[in-house]
Amino acid sequence: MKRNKYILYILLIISIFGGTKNAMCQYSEYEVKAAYVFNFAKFISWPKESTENDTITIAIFKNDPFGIIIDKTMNGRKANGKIWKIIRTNNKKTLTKCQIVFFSDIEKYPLMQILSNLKTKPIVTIGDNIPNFCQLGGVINFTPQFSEYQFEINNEVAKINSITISPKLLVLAKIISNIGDEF
Amino acid sequence: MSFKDLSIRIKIITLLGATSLITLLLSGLIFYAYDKMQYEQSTLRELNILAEIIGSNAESAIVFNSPILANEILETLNVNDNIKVARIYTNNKSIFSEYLIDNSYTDYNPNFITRKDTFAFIKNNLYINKHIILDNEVIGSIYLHSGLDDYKQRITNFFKIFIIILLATFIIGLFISIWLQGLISNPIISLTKTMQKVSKNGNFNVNIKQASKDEIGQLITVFNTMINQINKQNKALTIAKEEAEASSKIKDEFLANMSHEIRTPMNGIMGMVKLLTDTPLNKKQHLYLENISISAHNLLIIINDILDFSKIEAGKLKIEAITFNLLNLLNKSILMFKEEAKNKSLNFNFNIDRNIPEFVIGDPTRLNQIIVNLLGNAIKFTKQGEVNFSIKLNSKDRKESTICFIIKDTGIGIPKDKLNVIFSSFSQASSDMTRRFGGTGLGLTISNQLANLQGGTIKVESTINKGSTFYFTLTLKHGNNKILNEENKTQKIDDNNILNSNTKILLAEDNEINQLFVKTILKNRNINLTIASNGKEVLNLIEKETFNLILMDLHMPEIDGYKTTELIRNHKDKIKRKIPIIALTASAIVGEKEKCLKNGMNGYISKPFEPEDLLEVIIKNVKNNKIITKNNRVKKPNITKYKYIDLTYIESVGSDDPKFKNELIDIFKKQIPVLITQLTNNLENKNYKELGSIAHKAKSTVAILGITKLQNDMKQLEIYCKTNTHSEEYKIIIDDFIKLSNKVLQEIENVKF
Repeated sequence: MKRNKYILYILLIISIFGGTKNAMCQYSEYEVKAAYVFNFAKFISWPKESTENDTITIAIFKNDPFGIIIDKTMNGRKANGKIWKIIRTNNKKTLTKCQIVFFSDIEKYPLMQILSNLKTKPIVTIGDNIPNFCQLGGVINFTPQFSEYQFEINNEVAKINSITISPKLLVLAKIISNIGDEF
Repeated sequence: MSFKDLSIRIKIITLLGATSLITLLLSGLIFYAYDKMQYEQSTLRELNILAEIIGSNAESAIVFNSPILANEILETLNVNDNIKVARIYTNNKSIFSEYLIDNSYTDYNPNFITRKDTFAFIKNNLYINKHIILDNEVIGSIYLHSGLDDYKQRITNFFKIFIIILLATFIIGLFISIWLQGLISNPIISLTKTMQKVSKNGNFNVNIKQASKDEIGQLITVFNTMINQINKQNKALTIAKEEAEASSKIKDEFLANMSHEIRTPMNGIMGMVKLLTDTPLNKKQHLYLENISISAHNLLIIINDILDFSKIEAGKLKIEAITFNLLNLLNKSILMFKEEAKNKSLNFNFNIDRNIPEFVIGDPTRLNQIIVNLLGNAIKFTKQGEVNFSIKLNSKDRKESTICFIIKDTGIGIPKDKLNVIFSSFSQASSDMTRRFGGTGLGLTISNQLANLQGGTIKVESTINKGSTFYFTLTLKHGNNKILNEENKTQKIDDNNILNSNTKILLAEDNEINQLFVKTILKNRNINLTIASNGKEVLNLIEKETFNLILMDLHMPEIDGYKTTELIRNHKDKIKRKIPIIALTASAIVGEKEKCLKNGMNGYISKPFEPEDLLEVIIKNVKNNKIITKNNRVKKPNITKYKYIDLTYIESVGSDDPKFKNELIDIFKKQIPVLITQLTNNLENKNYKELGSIAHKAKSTVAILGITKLQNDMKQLEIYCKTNTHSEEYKIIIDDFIKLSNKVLQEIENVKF
């Protein structure tokens, strides 16, 4: 078990610091995305009261594209001194207790409903290449492969949610700011 | 000149200058080192911060794999010219992003990467490698290469400023040290200058101001004390010296006065003896008188010795430089001592180098005194045997001759340990000597000092009981004024014509014995003498009568000799004003003669005097006066001045018989050619024995006309022939004889008596 962890760690580092996209290609899409999610947490700060128990809880809503990958990625590692907790749920209510909610392959309207529910709560919503995710009030959305940006961020939503995203992260993202259109 | 010898002023300036220079250099170096360290530290810190910031900024680029962002971040470094290279490595050591200051820049250190954070200063370059840590995980590393170009600039500026500061400080320091060194050096220099002044001028009357109380101040105090002591000592010494000089002067005066006191009665004794001799006496009385005369003479010699000695001691004896006939002088003394030697049954030999110059410049009296003393001693201390007098020529050039006078005897000799003493005052070889031989013991001292004054030294070699040799060497300049010498001789010839019963002489003398002495001398010459016993009488008498000459005693009652002379010289009558006045004095005080002449007197004669001396002075002055006053009305005696001959001998032999004198001249004229033929023939035939006897004959022939040079030559030739030596000289001597005798024949062509 310990040996496996070590190998995984190396793999992860290689996946992250590969340097070239070709090197990236050695990893599966979701291995990369899991690592990205992990790294997002390092550039994001939540309000104190929301992370009191030193845990970052990530909820994967309904569809789980990662399978075991994300557990492997997060296992035993800390982000900003906090340990990861991964839950998979279909219950909308549980989402409010989490710090990160990951959506993949979800209908527009239920998503909108959920996003508006989570609005103003210190929760980072991540979409897995969901069209107009950020425009709909999501915080981070993975873009399709080979796009100019690897992800897009709606920082205004983040601000409403009392979440601070480091400019270091923002510079890498396509910034979406049409939240006003929704209301 | 080493640093040690430099002036204290320069030393202090150098010391201060060197000290400030060294201090500045050292502080400059320390500052440089400190600054370099500071600069490196701050540069390193800055670069570390930069690496930190770049690394931090690049975190997201690394983790989200965005080399574009990383490049953008690194690109921001172009605002810093020092950063040459920046690189971000991923954990697998591959380059994630790279920045070069410009594209052409060659990176010399492309793989500077370590496991740890590290840095290196290499040749004005700073290399730094730093891990990029995100949330406690190493995600990569950053490498920065900073050129320290501005440091180079900074160092250049630093040294420029440092040199300016150095020079400025040095110059200011130099000025300050020049100004401040005075504090130390000025007192020392002024002390030195004062000391130099003291030692140069001998002026000890100085006092240096004490400016401070430090060591130099103390030195000055001590110096002042010392100078004061020296000054006091000097004053004491000066007083002592003056006292000594005064007492020495008193001694001199005493000696002079004593001799005066002795001379006056001596004059009486000698005069009376002289007069007594001319009265009818029996043989015994004659002998006694002679003894009195000899004793008186000896006493006079002793007094003269003492006088000379005191003169020499006082440094008042002056050596004359006049032209005189050396051969005549030598012949006179030879003649004198030949007689003395004969009386003691001693052989007296003399040998004069034939090349000795006839006329030389010097002091004949003093030279004669030495010779007379040495010859006198030689005869005095020799009981039997011989006395040899030789005069050798050491060297001769156009201007001067070095002549050695050698007097050798076979007398008692002088012990070796006494050789040095005999020239000291008042000493003879032994006190026993004084008793046996008499004398003051001053003779040799005086002679040696006279020789010294003429540039020579008397030396002596002696073996006890075998004899002594005294010799001295003088360098004498050649004299060419032959006529000067002849004048004196011609005067004597017309003596007799000048003095006769028409000559009227006035004697001013209070001492009756001296009156009688002079009266008797002049009576024998048929001279008309009037006597005055004081100056007043003299003045009265000259009003009544006309005198040809006045003999004036200096010390007389009423009006003394000086005053009387003064009054006569101011007489309204022109002729009376010019009467010749001869001083008669017993005091041989130095300077008296000069005083007399200055006072207007024409001559001077010191008592006691010989009748001849008195007559000589009278004749000289009467003649001169007659010639002047009578405007040469008296015909000058028809005597030509002769260059080669001296008629003294002929005159003395045939004084009143011109016929006889003419005969003598004729004989000479006839003999010379015969002698020349005989000399030449015998020389050619090498018949030297005969040549010797011819030379002997020729010697007496030339003696008739007083040709001293030929006389000596012939004597020399005679000796050479007899001893068979110096044959190479014969021809030269004979040639000289022919040459000179022909000149003599020309000269006497017109001589008629």
